[in-house]
Amino acid sequence: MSPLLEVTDLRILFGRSRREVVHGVSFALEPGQRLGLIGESGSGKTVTALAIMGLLADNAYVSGSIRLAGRELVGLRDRDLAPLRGDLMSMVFQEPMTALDPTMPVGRQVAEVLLLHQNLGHGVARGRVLEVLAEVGLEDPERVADAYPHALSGGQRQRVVVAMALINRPDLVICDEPTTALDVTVQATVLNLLDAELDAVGASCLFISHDLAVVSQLCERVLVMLDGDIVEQGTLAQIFNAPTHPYTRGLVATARLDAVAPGERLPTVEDFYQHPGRP
Amino acid sequence: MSLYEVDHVTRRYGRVGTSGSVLAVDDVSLAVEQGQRLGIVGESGSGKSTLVRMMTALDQPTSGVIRFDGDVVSHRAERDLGGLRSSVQLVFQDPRSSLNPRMRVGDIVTEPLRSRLLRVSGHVPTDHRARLAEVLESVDLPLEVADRFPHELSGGQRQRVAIARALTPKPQVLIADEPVSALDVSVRAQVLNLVRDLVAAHGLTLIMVSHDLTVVRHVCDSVIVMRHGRIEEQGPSEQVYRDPQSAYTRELLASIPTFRVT
Repeated sequence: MSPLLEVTDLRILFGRSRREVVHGVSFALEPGQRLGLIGESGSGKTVTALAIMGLLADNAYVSGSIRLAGRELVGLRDRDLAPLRGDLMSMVFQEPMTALDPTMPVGRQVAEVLLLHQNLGHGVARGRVLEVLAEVGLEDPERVADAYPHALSGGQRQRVVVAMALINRPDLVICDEPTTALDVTVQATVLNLLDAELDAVGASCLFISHDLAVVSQLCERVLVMLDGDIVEQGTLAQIFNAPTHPYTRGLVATARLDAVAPGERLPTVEDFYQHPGRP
Repeated sequence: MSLYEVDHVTRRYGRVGTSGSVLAVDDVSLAVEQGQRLGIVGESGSGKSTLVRMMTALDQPTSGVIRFDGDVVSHRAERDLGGLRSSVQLVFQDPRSSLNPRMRVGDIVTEPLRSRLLRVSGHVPTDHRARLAEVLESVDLPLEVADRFPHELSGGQRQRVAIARALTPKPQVLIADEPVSALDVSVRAQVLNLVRDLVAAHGLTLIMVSHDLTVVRHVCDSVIVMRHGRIEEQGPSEQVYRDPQSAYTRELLASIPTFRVT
């Protein structure tokens, strides 16, 4: 089976100085697979995701190849790319308060995604929106659909964003730190929801996080990104049991707070890997 | 006598009976002893931050009394709070918003020493340069960062600056409100090790607010679990972690993602 998403030698440069922030990364995602992308702030995770979605700012230069379902995305004009977003691929962002339009009831925002890609009457769209809102575990979908984002809780808002990302049954869903802004108990329920809904839709997922523990809840394979390079990739068990790169060993050690006896010094990434040129 | 005494404290926002009325803290009593390391655990809306704001006299209880070192600190004029302000220092969640982006690190760290309120209360160091060098060293930052602006530093370094600033006036009590939740997991351990070392080295009393019981367990000897403005459970942190009595504490613990390999 050919991969759904194949990224080859992807380079991303910014600005007039052409500063390179992603240095030729390659990876593939099979249909239905979930791939975790892990790394610290500034490692290039989010720009890689935005390059796939075609959402980078105008001052970004992308080279290499991004093939989604056999189609080359690098070099595509935005008007050719836009019809794919929300249909073939979609994205769940970190902060639902900024991902949603504060001036529009959330039901209309979910319907917009539907109506952009399918020729439906408004009544039909409304019915479908209520269905999806119920699917993502929102009680009283009628009331939620008519509410503005500020009237919903953080967990409810993120459920709406998940509903938007899944309503057109995309092949690829990119989640960029989807639970980082949420309370722990809410995070647990949203992760469970994503797990169930990705299965129900049969979508592949690229799941970005700085937290290996969160990634391990959802993904079977992991990419480790460091300063714009992928330094290691493998199954969760490989990364966990036999990490080869010292940075990965550090990540695994720091992710296991519960394994350290209280009062003992916590392991840090620097115990395993010293960033060149950083104090 | 305990260092801190919180006596039947309630905080209500909005007028009673109106729809906007919220009982943020509901009849909470607690005591913090000198040298204790207390964790306050709860989710958004549990009242943990409101409680801490009242303990630092940044907010006032609707009813009840808070004493620090024997003196009532609730409903007092700011000019009478010199003792509290110099003895109790705060570290906030996100150093990006708690540090003034227009000030250089050196000025940020020594700012408490220039406060009139703190100067008249005595005790605070008078040699600013020397104190700056001392506190930067104690948080493992090179002296060169004093000339930098916060945005030039990494998240972990910024939080070290916030901790250095809190240490500058030689406080007795350090209150940290979610000090690691805005940081990458990989940086979290560094900052937690640092807080623990500093508390031990300076004999500080620590109050740490967090949503994460596994984090609190590493730094604090006792813990209070809050929910809906009330204390849901309290006890030695290891005991609450190992054998939680309340169903809510168990739910909180179960929600914390752990590394799971299937």
